[in-house]
Amino acid sequence: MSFKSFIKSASFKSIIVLLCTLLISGIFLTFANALLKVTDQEKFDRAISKIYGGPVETEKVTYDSKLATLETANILEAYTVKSDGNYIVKVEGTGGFSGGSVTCWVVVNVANKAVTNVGNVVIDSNLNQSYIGRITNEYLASFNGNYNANKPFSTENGYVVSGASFTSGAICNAVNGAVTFVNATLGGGVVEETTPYDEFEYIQYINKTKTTHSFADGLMTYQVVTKGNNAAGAFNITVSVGADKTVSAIEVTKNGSTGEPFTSMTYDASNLIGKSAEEIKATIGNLLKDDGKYNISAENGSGSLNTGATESSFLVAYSALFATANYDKALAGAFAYTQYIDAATTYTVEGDVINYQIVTKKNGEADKFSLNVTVGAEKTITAMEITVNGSTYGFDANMKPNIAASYVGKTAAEIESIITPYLNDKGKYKSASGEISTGATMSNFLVTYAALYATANYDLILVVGGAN
Amino acid sequence: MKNIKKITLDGLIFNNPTFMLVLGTCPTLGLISSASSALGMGLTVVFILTLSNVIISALRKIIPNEVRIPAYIVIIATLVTFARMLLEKFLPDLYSSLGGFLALIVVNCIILGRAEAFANKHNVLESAVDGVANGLGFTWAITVMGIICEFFGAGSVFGLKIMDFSIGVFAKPAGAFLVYGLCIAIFVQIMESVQRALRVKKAKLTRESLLSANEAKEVA
Repeated sequence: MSFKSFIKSASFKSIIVLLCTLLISGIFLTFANALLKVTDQEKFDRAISKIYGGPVETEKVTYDSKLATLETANILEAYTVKSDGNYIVKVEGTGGFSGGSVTCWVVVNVANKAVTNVGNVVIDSNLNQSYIGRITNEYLASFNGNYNANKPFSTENGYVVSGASFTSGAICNAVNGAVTFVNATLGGGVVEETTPYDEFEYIQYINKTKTTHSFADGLMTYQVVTKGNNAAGAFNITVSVGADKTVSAIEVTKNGSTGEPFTSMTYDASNLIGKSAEEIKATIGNLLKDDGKYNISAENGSGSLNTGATESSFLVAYSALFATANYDKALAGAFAYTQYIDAATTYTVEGDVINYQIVTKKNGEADKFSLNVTVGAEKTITAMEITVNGSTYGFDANMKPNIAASYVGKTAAEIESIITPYLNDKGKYKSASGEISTGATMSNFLVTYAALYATANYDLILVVGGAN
Repeated sequence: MKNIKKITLDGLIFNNPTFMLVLGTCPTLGLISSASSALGMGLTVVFILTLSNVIISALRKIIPNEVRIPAYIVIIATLVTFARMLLEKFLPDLYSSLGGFLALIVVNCIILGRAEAFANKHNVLESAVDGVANGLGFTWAITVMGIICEFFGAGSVFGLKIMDFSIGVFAKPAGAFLVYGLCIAIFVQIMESVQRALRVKKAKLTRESLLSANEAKEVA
């Protein structure tokens, strides 16, 4: 076929028509796209309007990266609403099922530079949350309008969906994280979620904000809440450590193993009784890397923790390691009633008798008091005198008469019952009426507090031994 | 005019693309769990089908026979893309609810089928009417099924809660199949009854006219 005849053929016409159709379609769509394109900002504004419940204009918040990483939440993005100053925060709540997380958009209502309430909570995405489908709109709506500064959202106070408790926990963490972030942003400061365990060893898998410890009857008892470890969820474990720094008792109170049969394949915690930190570390073996993280490639090993629910077994042993390895540090931090006691306080131990030279801190108008307090074998005060009276403006005359002497023979429980009305939720002084209310109540409070400190820490000091 | 009426009735009822021709089953089964999604899809198809019929009819003497199908697909795809842009810009909620089924309109048998069977053989006006009629025929069919599925599957209609009781299977594809099959059966049954009645009436009229013609002859 010649070129001329090809030009006149049906094939050529077909090609030309097809090409023209494509060209015209392309040009038309180009113009249409230019006119009708939905910009990223428009898409974002629409998404935000859905979250906020109405059309809004927002402004992105720039913040210190230290604000972004919290104990159980990570702040991903934050915006302020131009019209009312409220915050819309995209936050990832950790501690979910199978070690995963839930990312939510949380509206935080703000007025006068303070958080007033939580608005809408909308789920953006999740990681490993197999039961996310059980989270209903009603559950998410329950956060709306129920912010309480003294009571963070928690599965333990009703914010839980049956059958999706880990996922509910992650959502609570996300909402609490958003509120904490906004509070810090408004306060112009960095959130420092300090816990007593910040300087402890083996804290990689320990939930520092939920773990507690206390000293009683010669035992340091921890209520450990772990973090998740891959497929294993968080465990609650009670570990008691004796003065010899070995495990004296251990009990798994909440098993984080996910699903049968793994619940029954978790390591028997009682095998850890009598073991020291070094022995527990040897039991864990190469499941713990040098950088402190779990070694997933060692799961197929032949150690006693390699049970088929190795990730769960690891958490049990790790809790015991945390408890034993940090016994001394826990002991140092286990003193009770220290809020009004100055670091200059000293004590000496002579047999069963402890002699304190207590220096208190100030309390309002009352300056520091210095007192000598002796506590005997019956854990009662055998002698007490004020050596430096911190009352100011002549109020010392208005103190309760012979207040120091009145505590001789009293136990910690008896002194605690006197001072309790004057302590708020955070253990700080509050105005009240009671046995020590006179014209110098703040001074009376400090003397009573010193007596309580001396008696309440008797056992602990005897264990610690010697003088400080 | 008579032709326009016939085209309209065919598209809406007698050759309904959903119940009679069983075309466009993919979006039908995918979207009838919600009446509002079904209605939205139907109206989108009306828009695209009408425009595609008009354009193809207008170009029917230009597009060579050998490349008609690829050309039709390019035109339909362009219109679907344009419709997506319009929905995303002005009706974002409908755009989200239609999801992937919006793009699938390109390969919807109704649109390509009407382009091939009607638009490339008729003038622009008739093609436009055919597009509107078939589009509306598809729309009312899937909307009715959407209402049924949403009512039984979620206890609501167009999002308005009517009752608390619901039968879960109707919110799933299995339920959609059931409803679709039942609706086809009922519709075909109704059509057959109507057509039978029409035939009987026609036969009766013919017989009466023949009888009266014979009587007239006898009298004469």
